[in-house]
Amino acid sequence: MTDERIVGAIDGIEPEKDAEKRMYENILKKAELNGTKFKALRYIKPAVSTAACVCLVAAAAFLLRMEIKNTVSFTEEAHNNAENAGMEINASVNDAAVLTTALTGFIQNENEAQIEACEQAPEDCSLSLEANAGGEEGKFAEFADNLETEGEYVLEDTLITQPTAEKDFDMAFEEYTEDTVAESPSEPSFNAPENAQVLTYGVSNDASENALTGEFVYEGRHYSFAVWNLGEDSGASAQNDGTAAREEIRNYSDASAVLYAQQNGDKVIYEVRWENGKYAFSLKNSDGADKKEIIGVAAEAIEIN
Amino acid sequence: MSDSYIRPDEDFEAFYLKYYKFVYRVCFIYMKNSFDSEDCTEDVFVKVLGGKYTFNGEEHEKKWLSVTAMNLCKDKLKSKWHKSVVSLDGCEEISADCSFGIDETLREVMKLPPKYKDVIYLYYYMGYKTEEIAKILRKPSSTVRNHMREAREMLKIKIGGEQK
Repeated sequence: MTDERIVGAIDGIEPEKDAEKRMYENILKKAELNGTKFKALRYIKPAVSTAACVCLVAAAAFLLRMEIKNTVSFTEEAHNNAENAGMEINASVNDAAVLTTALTGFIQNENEAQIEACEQAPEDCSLSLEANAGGEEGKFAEFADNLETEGEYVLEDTLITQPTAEKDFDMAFEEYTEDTVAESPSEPSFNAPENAQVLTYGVSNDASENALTGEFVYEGRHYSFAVWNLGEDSGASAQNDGTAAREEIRNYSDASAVLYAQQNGDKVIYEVRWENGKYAFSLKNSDGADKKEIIGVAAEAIEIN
Repeated sequence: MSDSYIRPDEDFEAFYLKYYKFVYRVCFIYMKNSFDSEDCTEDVFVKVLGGKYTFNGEEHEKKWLSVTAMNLCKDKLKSKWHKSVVSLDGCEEISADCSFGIDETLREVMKLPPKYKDVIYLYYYMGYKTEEIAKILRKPSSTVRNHMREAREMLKIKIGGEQK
């Protein structure tokens, strides 16, 4: 359903007069800027992989040196690489440093060669980058380089050719689902049947502090409900004094629902009580609902509570 | 719902003109000021522009835009930068710089925490049922109904609706 006041209030929100043009221009600028960012990101992977390799090699070399001292031999090429990288090598430099520097030089040379190769044949190169645009976290996309005729690199987000907007829903909402379970109510709560109009809903003052009571109208009948912790007095014990006719109406799962009928003058007041393992529920009608009606309402309430 | 499939990137300007107010309104409910609302609106359309999405009719477009806008706004509200700006300026209150009058109903809705705004907006403005909202928000129906109830209790204005 919609509420006219809320619809009207929200429809009353208007952007500023010049906002239409300003936002449109900013959108185009931001879209262009995103493209520029992608271009810069093409250098991240070689840099990150180089750094990671250096760390691994350093760790490996350290361990190697701890176990096998003075047994590692290095090729002349490795020493040359180290020297090319600006390291001064002498007899006191430990083997791990020499190995690390030599391999770093090798990796740098490899990366330079890779970049050159990419410039010549960009279709063979690809990068894996994290796409964080639009509030999407943890979404990874692959970007492929394409060399335009002007010689400018443009990266294309290859993932966005795959999903529909539905997939984007899935990606965008993941982070908002974490608190779902935690938000389950820990205090008594009562869900009235669908399409019922709730009149009152709140903690009862005249019963246990944890008792929740309320009223709703469903299909023209007025119903009252109460929810309380199992083992506590409901405060509404009219049906417990033995004067009401008692009938077990149906066992809904673990609910063990019981229908009570209390004669009040020429009226019969029906009440259904059930439990869900944690709370006890009471649903009562006093304006003429017949047995079938209250059982139907109770059945729905049992299902959703 | 129309059966035609729409590619907004093919006629982006028309798409933007059709929906920029719609998106701005969603953003304003969350961001409470025109500057941040415009920023979030722009980000939504940047996403459209870069996404090559295909929508199955206007209903689908509206659903996608509203939900994306809600998410972007909440991301922004959670960002450290935004929190620091808010704490410095003390501008939690609704901005007075807007060019339209904010009535009591809107003011009360905007004061709600985001999780309540979600359900109130989707239920009372977009007209979705609680089951649809549960699917959209990826929350159990009972959680949505609880949020609905709590939101109604928080609103000073009297609004109707199902209580399931």
